[in-house]
Amino acid sequence: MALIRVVNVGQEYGGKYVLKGVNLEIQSGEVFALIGPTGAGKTTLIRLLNLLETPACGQVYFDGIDVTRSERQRLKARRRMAYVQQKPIVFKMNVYGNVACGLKWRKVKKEVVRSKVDNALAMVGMLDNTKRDARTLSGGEMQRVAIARALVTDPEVLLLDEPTANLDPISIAKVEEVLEKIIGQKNITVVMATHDMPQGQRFADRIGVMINGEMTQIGSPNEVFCSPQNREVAELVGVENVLAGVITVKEDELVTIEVKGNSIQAISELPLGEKVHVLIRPEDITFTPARNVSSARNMFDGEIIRMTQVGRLVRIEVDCGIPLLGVLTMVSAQELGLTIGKRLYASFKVTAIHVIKRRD
Amino acid sequence: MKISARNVLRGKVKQLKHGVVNTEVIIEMPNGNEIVSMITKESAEKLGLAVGKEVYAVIKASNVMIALE
Repeated sequence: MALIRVVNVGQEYGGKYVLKGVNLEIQSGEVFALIGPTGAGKTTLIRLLNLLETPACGQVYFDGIDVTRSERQRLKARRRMAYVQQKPIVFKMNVYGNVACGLKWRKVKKEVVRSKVDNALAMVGMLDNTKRDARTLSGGEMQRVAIARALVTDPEVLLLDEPTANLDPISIAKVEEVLEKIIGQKNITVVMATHDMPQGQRFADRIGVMINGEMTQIGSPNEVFCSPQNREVAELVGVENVLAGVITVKEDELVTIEVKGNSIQAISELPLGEKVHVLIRPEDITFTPARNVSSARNMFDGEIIRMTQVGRLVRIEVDCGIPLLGVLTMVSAQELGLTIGKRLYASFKVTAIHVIKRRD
Repeated sequence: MKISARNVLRGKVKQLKHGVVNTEVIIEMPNGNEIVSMITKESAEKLGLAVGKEVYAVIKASNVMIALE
């Protein structure tokens, strides 16, 4: 039985639906990431799961019990969860007091409070800051204190809303280290909203993709990142080559897809004549200065029209009649002497392509 | 061979397993390590792959995972 079950849930604010027909099951001990652009409905869904809001329609079940509208059931379920907001609020007291408050409200014995708070602060690497005024903490430190405050009540479910949004890279790394420790050491169910795709990929057992208030796809990180179900999900997860075409030849599952007069070979179960989108991840494209003999079935020559350096990588846009974007290391780009205007060959394997049905 | 992929490893075809569409190619490196490649059957035929043939396994740096024991 799923620990959390959401059935056809919708939510509206001022007559505008921000969540539509969401169905979701989360198992006990699972790490589930909600990914999607800003405004997709991730925070609303997290708040509904935490029972801070009542949905406009549909049901929410916690541990098999319908907790959608009964205040008594909602309170009982909420006590088994903890919620860390995107911008945590700290109280006007020291770090220790901030973490201990949940236990004090529950009238837990002082010595138990001390031990639990120390453990929670050790878990987030803030044990040396117990006496510090919480209002003087940096954004990352504040987030870690908020996570400790959530952990101290031993929740069965930890709900995290964008735990690293608006943080600097060093703070992000520290918060992620804490999350990794929590997931590894505690038997806890985690639901995490994030717009940081690699973060979702790194931590989650399963990912739910939200776009415009709808749960567009649910699957393992591999399924979502390598086999997105539609164009919107593909673009969200970084498949930057999305080409519209039609299947013109089919032999078993090997298909030829016509894209602007070019033939691309791929593997697909879709039928002959089907309108499709060809999805190719930039990192799956290889470049050579001359036509070479290789097993890659797709090879196009073109001209480099743009080069952008991103850290140690270079993004290269090549006009091959069809636009292709590839990513390679700076060392490779230098070794091949790549510059704007230079002609080269872009190749990619049949198995690197994901083909989906086109809706237009 | 000039190619953007950073890893170009020479070996010999040790085994070919043909499927309906794909062919699994096992390449043996000089030190005995093996690399498995999945290519289309047509590509395997076009390249004239056969057991013992010298080939290159080409792997992009971004496609190499690193794991610890």
